[in-house]
Amino acid sequence: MKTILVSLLLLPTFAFGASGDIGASVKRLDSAIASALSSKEVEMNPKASDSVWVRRAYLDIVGRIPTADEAAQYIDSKSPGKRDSLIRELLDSDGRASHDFSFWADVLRVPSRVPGQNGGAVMGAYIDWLREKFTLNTPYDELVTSLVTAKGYAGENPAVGFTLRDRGMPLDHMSATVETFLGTQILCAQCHDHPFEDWTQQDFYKLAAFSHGMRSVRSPQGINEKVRAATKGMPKAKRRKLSRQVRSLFAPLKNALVEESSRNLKLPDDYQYDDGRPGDLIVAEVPFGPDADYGKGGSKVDAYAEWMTSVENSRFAMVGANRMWKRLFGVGVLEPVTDFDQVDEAFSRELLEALGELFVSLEYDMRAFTRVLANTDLYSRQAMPLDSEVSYSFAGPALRRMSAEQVWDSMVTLIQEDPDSVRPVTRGRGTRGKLLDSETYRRMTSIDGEQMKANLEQMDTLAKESAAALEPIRKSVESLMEKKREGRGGIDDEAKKVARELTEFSGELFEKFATLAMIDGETGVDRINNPLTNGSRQLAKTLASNFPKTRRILAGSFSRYQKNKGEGGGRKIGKALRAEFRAIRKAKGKAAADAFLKEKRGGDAGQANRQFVRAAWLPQPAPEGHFLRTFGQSDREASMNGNTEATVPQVLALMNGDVFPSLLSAEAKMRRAFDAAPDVSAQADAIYLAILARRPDAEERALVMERLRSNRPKVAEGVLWALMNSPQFLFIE
Amino acid sequence: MFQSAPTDRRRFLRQAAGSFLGVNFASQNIFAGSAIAPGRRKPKQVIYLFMAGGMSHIDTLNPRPDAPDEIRGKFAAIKTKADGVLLSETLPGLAEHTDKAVIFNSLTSTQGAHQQGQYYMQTNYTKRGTIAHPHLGAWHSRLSGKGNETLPGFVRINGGSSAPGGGFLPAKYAPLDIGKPEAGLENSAHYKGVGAPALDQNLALARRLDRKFRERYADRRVSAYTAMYDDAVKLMRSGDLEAFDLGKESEEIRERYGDDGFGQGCLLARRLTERGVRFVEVRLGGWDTHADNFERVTEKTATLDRAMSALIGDLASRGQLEDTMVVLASEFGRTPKINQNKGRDHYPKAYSAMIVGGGIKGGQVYGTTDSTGAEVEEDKLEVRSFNATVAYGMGADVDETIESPSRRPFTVANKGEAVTKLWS
Repeated sequence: MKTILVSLLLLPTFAFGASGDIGASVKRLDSAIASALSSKEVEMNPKASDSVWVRRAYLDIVGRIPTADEAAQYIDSKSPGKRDSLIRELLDSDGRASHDFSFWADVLRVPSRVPGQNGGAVMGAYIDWLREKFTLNTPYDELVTSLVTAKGYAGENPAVGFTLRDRGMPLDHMSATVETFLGTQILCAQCHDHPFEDWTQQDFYKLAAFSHGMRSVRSPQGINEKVRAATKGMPKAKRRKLSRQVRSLFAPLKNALVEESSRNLKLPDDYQYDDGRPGDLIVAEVPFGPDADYGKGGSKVDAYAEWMTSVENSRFAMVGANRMWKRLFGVGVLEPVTDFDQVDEAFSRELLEALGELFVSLEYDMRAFTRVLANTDLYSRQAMPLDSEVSYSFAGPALRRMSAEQVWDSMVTLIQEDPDSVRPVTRGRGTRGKLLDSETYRRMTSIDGEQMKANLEQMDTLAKESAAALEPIRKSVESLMEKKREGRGGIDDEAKKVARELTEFSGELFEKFATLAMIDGETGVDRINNPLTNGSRQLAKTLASNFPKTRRILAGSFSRYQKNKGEGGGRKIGKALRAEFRAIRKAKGKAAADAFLKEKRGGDAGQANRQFVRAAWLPQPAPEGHFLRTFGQSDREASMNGNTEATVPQVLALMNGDVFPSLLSAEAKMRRAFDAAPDVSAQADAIYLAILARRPDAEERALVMERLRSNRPKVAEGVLWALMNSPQFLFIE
Repeated sequence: MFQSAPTDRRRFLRQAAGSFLGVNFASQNIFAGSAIAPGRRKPKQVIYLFMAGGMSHIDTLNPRPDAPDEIRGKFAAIKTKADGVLLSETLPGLAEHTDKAVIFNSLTSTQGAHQQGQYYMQTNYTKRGTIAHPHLGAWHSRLSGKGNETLPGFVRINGGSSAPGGGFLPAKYAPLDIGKPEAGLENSAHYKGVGAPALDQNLALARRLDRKFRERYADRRVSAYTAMYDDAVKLMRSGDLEAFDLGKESEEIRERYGDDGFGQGCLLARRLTERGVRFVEVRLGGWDTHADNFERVTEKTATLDRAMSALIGDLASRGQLEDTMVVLASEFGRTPKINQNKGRDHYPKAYSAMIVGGGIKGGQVYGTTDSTGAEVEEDKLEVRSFNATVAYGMGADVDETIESPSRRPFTVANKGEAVTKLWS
């Protein structure tokens, strides 16, 4: 076993919040760094300038370049404590949570969609949950425990998304989990003993036995038994029909995770070693560190998480600390960060241990830990080129190309007035399935057998009655369609009348249905695929797509035609505002009306640039061909799958793509700052501060001003273009 | 310096000559005709179809009709154009082309995880933290030179976000990535209102403004961006840029390849290789069928079979198949035994691949497994030797040593042995 057993518990512990005094921690870490460097005879680089440092700090902590004002404010400040006060400000900002999300979404392989029913809804809830955890700065050990041990219904505990993401692949999931959090490369041992490490195939299966009990379930627990009991004695055909009804009813409740302690793991059929035979039952056991005791009948997965995050298991803290170190310094003290089996390969084992101890002493507070790292002497030094991660000497942070998310989020910074608060526009008719809220879930699943039987009978009757009652409306819709095919005009009023009938009828039906199904009527009953709702829904669909004017009426009972009430919608124009807008348009023309609307909306940069939202709020990952993907955003197939290599499509996107025109659009922040500058010298300052967080030096200023003086706008634009297309923009110094 | 296993005397001589005398013996092919150095053949174009996720060998290239139900699965074996060569019924289109193909049923890998397995298949080296190895496509452009002055040597379609690329080779050998083949090479037209002279002026300004930054950091990735700007402008002005435009193909042809990213990618691959692009990889993901294997394999093979048979047919009728080698490969196979979720799991021990065209003697099967597809019985082919075979088929000198920037010697074959007898 290559375990490092540092007796962390015996060390004096210091707990600091992000606002507390961290002087002692910084000092200790500085001296650990200094002794690591001196033992390798490495001399630190000279100090970096304020402008290099402020750009680095924004990109590393908030995930974007500073705005021109933010950069100037820092550079011009004479305050002696300005570094730590900026670090604290950044750690407290909204932008920090977005950056944390993008970073961990890559590590945890978070996709917006996974195959299977409600896959999009489960992942959507999981993503929202993760965002909230980062906003709240949840301690690292608590976060990991919540992920690894999550059980239950996804609508109730969205963290089950972590495991459901790998549905059907329990062994892969286990390997990825220990690799991510413990730096243990145990996957090879799934098929054979590890070629270089101590892991045996037996070790692998013993570890896998901890999470093997976790099983994704199709319908809530116990429901099938209740249905069977409720339909007992009924004729076979009726029984089948009613069971189908119930199944469809519970469809939105799919995607839960339960732990079954009775589920046993066996050695595979081709097991070839002497320490076990194919088919042998495996007893859960950990390969290193303290024992994981789950007692009799206890939750194995809880014991597994406890072992994983235990302070005695020093790997856990070191892996997390090393990952966060890499985020700021560009290279891990140990590379790759997932291979702690090779801990002797670390740049400095003492430094690695010091980082782990610091993380524990800060009680896994990621914000406080980052604050200490950003305050170190090494972080204030000039960057150095990075040719090999393994032989990196740490004379300063490594020169890095920004991650795809940092490049994109920096573009957002150049375009939006307040880049961290812009949210995407979500359309009202979201096609994603919806997860029912936890209260509904509990109500639905707590139903007793007798009650279910009664409800089933009533539903059956209701289905028959409603099918008959719907017939006349169906005929009306058919006749409307007939008229439309014949090309007859003036049938809109008739369509509206039919829509009103359908809406009224369906409203009543849905209410009865919701009562019998014990669903909250607000949750979109019409979307449940059920014989009771299908008829109405089909007719509504026909009406809405052929007679768009009926949509507003249909919205009365059908949630899919209701306008979105969600946050941040860019199309939020109130009724009064709309009337005013129309009046201005009539009196002064469209341009004036648009200007009025823009002013009223404030905040975001208006219609034209609404796609520029920070990466954390876009689909995960962004679709193929998106700017983010071109710059190497992870496809989320594997952990840390992003890429920062230069490619021709990246360069083409910067030279000819639609991002640059957006920077020049009248609403863009960059453009407005440029236009507002009183003279060419101020223009030169404005664009340099915005793009590179510094003012130009004498030579650059001369070059740039010569072009800016031209009265041809294209020539002046060329300066902006040239700065965006000089690689220094893409790198973090 | 030389950390790899001892090289043989001949290789040592060649390296020594290369490094001490400044003479590159390798390219002069003075050892041609010997068994060890197969020598340089005319470089072929390569279209490499990579099935990411692990293609179930039993349900595609190596049907096992005599295996018990829980292994054989629901697909039957069908006879094909070549005598005695069977394929799964999931590949009816390819069954018409087996006379031009060699099917390899005895591949074996040591890598059972996706990322590591794909890396091994595509670079011929196992993944290490210490160095990035070049993809076979980058090797091909490096060893065989460009076939077209302005187009890249290596294009990758739907490649995934962190697949190996140029590795330690200079940036010009890295792949050009195409995400949506139907959109072609996006952003290749000048930004509105900026003509060629203005672009040149702007680029010159960008370079002047960037000079100090470049001087401050002697960094491979910084210089890579400089190289990319050169390549991109060359490409924008290339007369062959239309190669990327699928709109130049008839509707009938486009439909024949299939209306999906993979099918259109195969068509784009044909347009690129016929203009001299050395190596085009087209990737089809979604083969990781741990659950519901049979439904998903039905979907995947429909896409694959349609596109690949259209590609082979097209290349043959245009007289390009002799000079274009089409490879079908995956990182590993899938377990013979069907699991409780009606799926199959990762299986690197025995799996399959296929090579068509490029002068290979078709109508053959190389290597066999037992009747369950679990164990290799004859002609075990390690990944390195399969890749050496592909490299030999490319027309590259498989023994030519290339040094990494840290002066470690590498060869495309990585000590694998090419099965040269498959070529006439």
